[in-house]
Amino acid sequence: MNLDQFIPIYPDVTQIAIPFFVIAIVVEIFLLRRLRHEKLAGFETRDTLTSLMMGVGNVVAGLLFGFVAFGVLMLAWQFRVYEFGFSVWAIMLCFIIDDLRYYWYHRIAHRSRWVWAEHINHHSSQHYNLSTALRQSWTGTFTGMFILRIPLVLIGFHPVLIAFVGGLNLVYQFWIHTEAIGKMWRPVELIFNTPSHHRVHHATNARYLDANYAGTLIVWDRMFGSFVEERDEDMPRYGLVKNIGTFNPVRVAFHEWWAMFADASRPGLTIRQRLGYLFMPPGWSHDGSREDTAKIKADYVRRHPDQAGQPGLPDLKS
Amino acid sequence: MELVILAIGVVVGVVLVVGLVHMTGGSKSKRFASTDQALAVFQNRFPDKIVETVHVAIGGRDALVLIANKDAIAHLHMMGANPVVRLLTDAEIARTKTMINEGAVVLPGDGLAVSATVLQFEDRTILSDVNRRMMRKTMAEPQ
Repeated sequence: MNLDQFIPIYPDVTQIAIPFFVIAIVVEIFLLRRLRHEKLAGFETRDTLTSLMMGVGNVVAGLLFGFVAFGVLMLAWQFRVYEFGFSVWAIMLCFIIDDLRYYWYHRIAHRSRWVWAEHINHHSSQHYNLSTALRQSWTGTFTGMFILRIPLVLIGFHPVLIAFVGGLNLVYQFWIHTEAIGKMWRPVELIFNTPSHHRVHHATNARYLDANYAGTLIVWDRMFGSFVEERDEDMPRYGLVKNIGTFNPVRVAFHEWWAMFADASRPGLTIRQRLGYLFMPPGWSHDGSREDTAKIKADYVRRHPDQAGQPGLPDLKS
Repeated sequence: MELVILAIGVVVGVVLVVGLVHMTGGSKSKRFASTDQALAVFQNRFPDKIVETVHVAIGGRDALVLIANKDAIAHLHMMGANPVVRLLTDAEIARTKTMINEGAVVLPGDGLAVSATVLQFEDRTILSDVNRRMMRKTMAEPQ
């Protein structure tokens, strides 16, 4: 059977969802006004505008450069070992495996500066609301991380199907960027990524750094040891460990690329050190003068020894 | 979806959301009301650093924190409703300038992440403190 003759035309779900995104943000604005909780990060005009402009830029970047990833995946499709087709079961299976792919992409994005350079802008707001969900990267294609989808193609999922479920996953992740929803029904919190789990992911509190990488299913974090529960006594503080001082979308999109290449091209470094600035975790430096996640967590435990060994925090010895 | 419809939808959505945030008070920006407030913001981010003095700039949007050891300086900037706390590197301190007549300190930018900033102070004692640190860093910087 030649599957290419039966490829369904899937809608671009992220584009179709735009009116629902707008309505949901409007509802959230009014909900947060009613809650009037002073500790909630809420909305801010320039921050919201920046997030929305980043979202627009992401769509434009997809239209301009999307063909690169799709072309590579179509090339890989020639070497598939099986064809799952386009049945409902195939879509569901593809969604779950692609969600696992997303988990690892996301984990790498936080642990290697090369990918962090594009992902950082999603974390650059000190607010946490539905507009933050739209603060997306413009430079994702350039990291080459689309290669993580090649195994899915090789085992028999068509690139069109992979693009479709990837869109569904992104749409799922929209609604979890909110402080308007507390913790949900326990079985939901156990299986799915929820606003509570994702607030942890966006937080800069020491215990929450590098946790909860899930897209749709939080089970991946539970399986791979990166899950941390949100605590009432340690409310998330959003943004970056080293926050940026600009609302300019172009600066937001490119500031870490700029900083990374500036570091890697400093005079007097060895090749190994230059590669370290490109690929080691954010905060790595050749002379140990900067703070990475491990140091931030260790410092926190030193100041709060009673918290040692708690989820997200190391033991006292280190 | 047709590109024109997509573009119109996006523009309408952005204007609606941003307009609503503005009308519901989202454009209010905060200021440092006192040195104590600025100190609290700094210590929340860097609890291990021992602070020598804190100076809030005219207008209250910025503050400089002089740290007791290693001649370090931190810049606090209120960006809308949230503070941005930046510990200046030795090289950045060496590139810091002071304008005595204006009572101003000129901080260098940090790549694309932070722009260069001019901070004006009523209390000009900070200028000599910053100058001293800047001189020591300049001498320590490799040529």
